[in-house]
Amino acid sequence: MTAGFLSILIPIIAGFLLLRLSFEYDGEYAFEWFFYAIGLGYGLLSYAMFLLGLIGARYSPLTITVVFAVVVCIALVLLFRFRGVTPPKPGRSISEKLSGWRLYLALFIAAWVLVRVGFVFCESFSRPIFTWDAVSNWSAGAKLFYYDRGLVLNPGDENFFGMGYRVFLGHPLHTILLQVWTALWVGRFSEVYVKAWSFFYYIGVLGVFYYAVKREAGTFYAFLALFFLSSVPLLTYHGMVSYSDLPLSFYALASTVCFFRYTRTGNMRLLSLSSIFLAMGCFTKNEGLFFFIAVGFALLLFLLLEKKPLRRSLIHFLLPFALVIGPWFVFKYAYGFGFGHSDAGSGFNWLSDPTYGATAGRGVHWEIFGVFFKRFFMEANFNLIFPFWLFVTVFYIRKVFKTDVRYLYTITLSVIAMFLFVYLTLEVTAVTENTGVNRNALTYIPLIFFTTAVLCVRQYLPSSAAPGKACIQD
Amino acid sequence: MSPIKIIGITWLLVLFSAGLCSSSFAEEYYGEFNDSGDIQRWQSLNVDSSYIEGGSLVLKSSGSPRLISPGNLRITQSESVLSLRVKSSNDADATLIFQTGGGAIILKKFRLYPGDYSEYLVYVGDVIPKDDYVVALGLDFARNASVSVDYIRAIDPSFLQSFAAVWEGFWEPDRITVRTVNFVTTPALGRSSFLVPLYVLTGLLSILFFIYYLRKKNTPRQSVAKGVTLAFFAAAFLFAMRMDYNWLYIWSDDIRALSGKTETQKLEALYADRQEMDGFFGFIALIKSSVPEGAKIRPAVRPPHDPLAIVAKYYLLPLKTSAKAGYLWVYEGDNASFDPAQGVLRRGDDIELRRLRLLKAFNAGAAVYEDLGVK
Repeated sequence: MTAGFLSILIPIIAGFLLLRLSFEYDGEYAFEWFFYAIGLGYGLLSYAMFLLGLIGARYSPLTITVVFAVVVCIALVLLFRFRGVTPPKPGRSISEKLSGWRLYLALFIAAWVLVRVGFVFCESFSRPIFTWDAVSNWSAGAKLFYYDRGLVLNPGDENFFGMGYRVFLGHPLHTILLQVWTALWVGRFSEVYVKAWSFFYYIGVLGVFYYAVKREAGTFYAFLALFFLSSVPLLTYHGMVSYSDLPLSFYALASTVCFFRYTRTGNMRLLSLSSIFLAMGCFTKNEGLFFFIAVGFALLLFLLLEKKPLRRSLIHFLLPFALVIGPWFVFKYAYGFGFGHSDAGSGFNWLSDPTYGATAGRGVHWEIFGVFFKRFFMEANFNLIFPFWLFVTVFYIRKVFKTDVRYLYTITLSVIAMFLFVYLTLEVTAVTENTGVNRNALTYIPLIFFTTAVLCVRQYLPSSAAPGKACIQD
Repeated sequence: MSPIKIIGITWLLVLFSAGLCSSSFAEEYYGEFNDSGDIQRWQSLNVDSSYIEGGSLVLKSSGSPRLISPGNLRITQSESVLSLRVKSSNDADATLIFQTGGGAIILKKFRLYPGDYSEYLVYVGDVIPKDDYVVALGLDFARNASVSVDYIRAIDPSFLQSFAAVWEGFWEPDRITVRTVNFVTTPALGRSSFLVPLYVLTGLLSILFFIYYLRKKNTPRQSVAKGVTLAFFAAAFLFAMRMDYNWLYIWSDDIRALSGKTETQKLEALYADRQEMDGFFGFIALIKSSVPEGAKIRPAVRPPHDPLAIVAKYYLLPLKTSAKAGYLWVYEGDNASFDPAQGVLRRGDDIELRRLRLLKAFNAGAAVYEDLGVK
């Protein structure tokens, strides 16, 4: 048990140290970095494990910890070599002191959210891996790698890189390697403890979201927004199950928030951190690439609209991404592992989903639109965020175009468009059979909450921001 | 007239209408088991014993007991509520199986709670087709060791009875299943998703808040924005209450079912609703202890993509599964028989494999073999 907790804490502490050394101390928001550290620490750990696996070294807690420490040190060296723009001193804070009915309501909400977190904690640490999808897509590979103490890269091995156990060899390894790491520390492949990271990503998403909204709207509205985000049933469930969509949610949200703060402060380190989180998202699920493209698109838009120099920002965006995800993409390319889910492996079955039914012809399946909207408007997976988001977007459409919220919309809508493209041309059954569509939506649901919250803040608290200007904190 | 008076009068009208509606309903008894011992041609399946006791039909089973009605019922959509008085030994889902005159088979689940007799009102108006009727009714009491059924009635319900059944269905707590990773079950109010009344509520509250803000000297645009936003908050809060009720229920269920247990016992508890998993983890443990270290194994007759074969492959690790393995396993449901004299494994009359040696038997249907033909 103690070993299990150590395995969880070591990467988080390392991530926290890195972040604390990278950014200036910001009293009111000091604890915020703890939540970012969850994703950063876990991401660097799986990156180190992957590199170690590539050279064929045998996995053990010691070897991994040493390589992990080396990766963290290299990150520190790079950090001090490429110093970013010093962030401006903290500006006006609108984190008001709560009193009266707001205080009581905030306390009530906090207590409610804590009960939810307590539930997820208890379930996460008592339920074994149970969901079949989690077993076949992620845990089967993890268990094989654990017992083989490596990535099984001997060319003649019938279980090469998890073959026979991993459904799609092109699936990224992040959560698989996290399970291996905990199993190594616990000393066995515990069906309960190896998925402890689920809970930490869950509180990571909540923490990053809370502080992001707090920077924009203050404590009370941050609590209110947190209450509604944490009420999303699918998010709650994924906090206790070993599936990779929640970690991708974390990386999508963290990278977007860092990018958004960069647009307001010009702090290049925030842009690089955003890029690192995007790379880690790509190492979590193939869909992570959508978020990289979307944030890249929003960055270009920002640089062009605000007439900022392109080269420096693009280097800070592309270089960290390439450094972190490069080895994985090169490895995938070298072995021919694709990004898809076709019946032949990781390829693509363009314009025909083999599981959609024999009578379905080849083509773009526009008929899924109705089902797609039914999933989000008539089912109980995401509370009422989709209709509310639609309402505020239509009602405040001018604000969407005229304020910095446009960058958040660029990211969110681009990601949704890319998912829609996949459903229309490749994975029709993800929508019709209600399999992937909600899990995919889970990856961008925190973004939609954040986008909605910022838009409401721009509307109802007009003093909070002027277009394109740094304000409040940072 | 003040808003309070309007609300009061409306509520009285609702009650009055409900009272009127409640005076006209009919009940049809389809299974009324009594002390005479007449079970009215209902059949029980999958049971170790069934008998009448104290006016109830008692089903004892080591699997999932089933109760099948005679095939001459005529339940129409107007009889939209089933009333069942049942005593159950397990906390399990029961499934109502309807066969319609048109030949369709329709399923509807509802939750049974362990303990003494309870009356369950199940709204079935959402599953019985308008232009069809039910000719036979089945009840599958999943994994229930003992079930006592006092009566099964179909009711042409009054407004209040209908409301009670819909309300009961709405608050029925969900379970975590293997599909929860993809979606949670949306609670239903009768035929519709409970988001529909939430949208209606959002609309009504939006109007009320709009009037409120307008009277507070806001512009119409501001009033709409604030009104709709607050209405959405209220509806989302109600949504959160209903869904968190689910989680609380699941939490208390899991504390009861999982606390103080080993990982294997927890897995057995989670797979308790699947009969084919009975004893499965014991069998996995037997295989692991029987097969020599470094050897590999494979299912003897199941194809590699068979769901149980895939599950077994995972839980058998570190013992690896390979198509060229020298050891094989056979599990219940494979319908395989072994002839030790000839070393032959048969499936029905066909010989599936030769030159086998029985390594260890788990029970009559499950065993581990060594393939003597593999070096």
